[in-house]
Amino acid sequence: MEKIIALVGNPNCGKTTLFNRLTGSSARVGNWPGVTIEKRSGYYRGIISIVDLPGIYALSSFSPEEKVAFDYITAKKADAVINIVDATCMERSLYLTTQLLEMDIPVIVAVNFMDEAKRRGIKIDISALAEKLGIEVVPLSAVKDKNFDTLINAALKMNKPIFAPVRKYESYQKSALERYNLIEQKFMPHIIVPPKISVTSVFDKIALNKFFALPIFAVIMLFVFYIVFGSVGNILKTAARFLMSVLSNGAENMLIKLGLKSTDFLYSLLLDGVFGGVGEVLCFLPQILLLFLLLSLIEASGYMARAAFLTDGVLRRFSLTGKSVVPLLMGFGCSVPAIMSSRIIENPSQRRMTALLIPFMPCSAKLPVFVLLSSAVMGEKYWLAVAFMYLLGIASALFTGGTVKRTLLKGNNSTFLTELPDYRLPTLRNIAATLKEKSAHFVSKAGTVILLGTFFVFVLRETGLLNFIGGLLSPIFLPLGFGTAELSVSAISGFIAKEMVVSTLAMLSGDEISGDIFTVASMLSFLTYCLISPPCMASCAALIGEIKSAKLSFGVLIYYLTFSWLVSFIVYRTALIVI
Amino acid sequence: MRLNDVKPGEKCVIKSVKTHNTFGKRLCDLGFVEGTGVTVLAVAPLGDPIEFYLRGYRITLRKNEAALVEVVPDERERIWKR
Ligand SMILES: Nc1nc2c(ncn2[C@@H]2O[C@H](COP(=O)(O)OP(=O)(O)OP(=O)(O)O)[C@@H](O)[C@H]2O)c(=O)[nH]1
Ligand SMILES: [Mg+2]
Repeated sequence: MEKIIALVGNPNCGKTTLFNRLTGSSARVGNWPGVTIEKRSGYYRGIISIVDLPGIYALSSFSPEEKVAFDYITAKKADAVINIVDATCMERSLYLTTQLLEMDIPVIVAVNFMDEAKRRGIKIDISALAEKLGIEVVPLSAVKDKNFDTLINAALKMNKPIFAPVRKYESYQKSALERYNLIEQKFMPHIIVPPKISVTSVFDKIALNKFFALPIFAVIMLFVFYIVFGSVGNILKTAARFLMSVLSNGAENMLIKLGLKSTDFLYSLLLDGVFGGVGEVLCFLPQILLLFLLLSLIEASGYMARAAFLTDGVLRRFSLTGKSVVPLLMGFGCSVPAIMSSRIIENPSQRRMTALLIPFMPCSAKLPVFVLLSSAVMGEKYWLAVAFMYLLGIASALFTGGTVKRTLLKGNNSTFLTELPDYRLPTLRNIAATLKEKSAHFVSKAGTVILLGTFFVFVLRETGLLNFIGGLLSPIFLPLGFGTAELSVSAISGFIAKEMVVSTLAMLSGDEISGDIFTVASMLSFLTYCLISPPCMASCAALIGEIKSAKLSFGVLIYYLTFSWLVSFIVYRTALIVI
Repeated sequence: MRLNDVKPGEKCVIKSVKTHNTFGKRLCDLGFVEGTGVTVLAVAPLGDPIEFYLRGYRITLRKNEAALVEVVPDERERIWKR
């Protein structure tokens, strides 16, 4: 029978890093507590099953993601547990260890972050610790180590521990005290931590400074925006464009050589549909990767937890919590993982609220729509429109949250208990893994959903059905300034995937999207509609999965539909007056 | 004195934690138990939440959560040796 080894430990102690190294997977890693939200398994050397779990501080459940870990451990499905502890924070880590020792399962301790501990002069007497714990203890650096055989073999050889259970009292507090006393007296003498000169890092002196903190947060966000849409992003986009036009010309020449005429079905399917539509979307890959790169740097550095700390006071007024910042920022990348990561929020109503607001974020799939249409209409100054969309997305989320707070969710109490991890340099391996995963996802999406969707719209056009559907829809969009059949269908096609708006529009309007179909006002209104209209299928599914209530899901859908129409209307009318 | 009354930069020692709800229990699990030394590190720009240092790590709590923890001003230097 195959052996199962579970990785258990406090949040942010490096479980997923180790899991990835052991199994060659690329599960999400980030320098903030609560990255992993679901159980995930993989194979070590193809034979031993490794299970990665969300982090927990103790064997008592709290947020839904912690329950996953708790349930898995208590069900005793694993043959052995590797308890990962943080060498830089042994005292708290060992609390869970002593609880695991009381369970009837083989367990070994892996002391991770040994590289970091060495750097700080922390000395851990591994063998003494092993003797006192009565189990195998293995030093580890999940990032730096090359070979993990010792660790796995130790886990497989381990028998059930013999450990006298810590005395329990009526009072929870007293029991916890007893456990910490035991840790202090029995284990801590084998760990020497040099006296700290200062516990706050230099970075935090600035990043959490009373006066500079919020401005710095704003500057970081602006910087991300500037890189993606300004300097670097523009170069990448131009390069991708050039490459795509070379490919498209090559294909055109080939088709002509094959004797196809520009009026042929196949010719226009390939050039309008595949190159014009899907190709247009693919051109944005580099820019989108750039966005994901910057987001992953924020995650890896440890700033994410700081951002939550800083914004908690503000977000609380909008039925959110500081922790909502994490999913919301992830929402700039892609809504689906962002919606799922709302599970790090303990309070159920805030968790739902956060999930519901994520679709308002200008995700990376909306980016091509914004950039393409705004530059067609406004040329060089396109970034003004894009910036407006980003602000509008955030404003819509806050507006909705604020309104709900004042009506539905009055006076709910929530918690804000977060660990602030040490700042860390992002590892190349993680960045490469993120970029690889994002490009694979993007390309496969372009090659499946978007390609099929584009075919579908192409067939609609060829059969004339498009005008019919467009005719039905256009009265709805007429007051918003984009009441033509093509634009109506394009706007709706965003439900399949937001990039579809671009590929549909590009296909329907021949090769280049020209600015003539829009005025500035109608373009802004169209973009607004794409921004806040019901999210794509994938995020809808994620959302329904997360809020787990058919009634609420339906209500939310209605809200998205009406709210997006209203906001687009307001944007259109205001723009007509102002511009 | 409650933990939320302690000023940034000051140290205190925990006397007890109210554990009538799960949150208090959670605090105990995280090492907020009698005799533990806590330093207040920073306060968020809007006055809430607050960042604390205890048992070798940093954690943030809202004011009303910190109010669950009863403390006395630090007199026992030995805790800070670690
Ligand atoms: N220097 C150093 N960094 C490490 C080591 N192991 C993990 N890290 C970093 O620690 C951070 C957290 O790692 P994760 O693997 O996401 O931790 P986790 O335990 O899965 O966290 P959750 O899923 O949130 O519970 C990441 O930034 C890693 O790069 C290590 O041995 N040395
Ligand atoms: Mg993880």
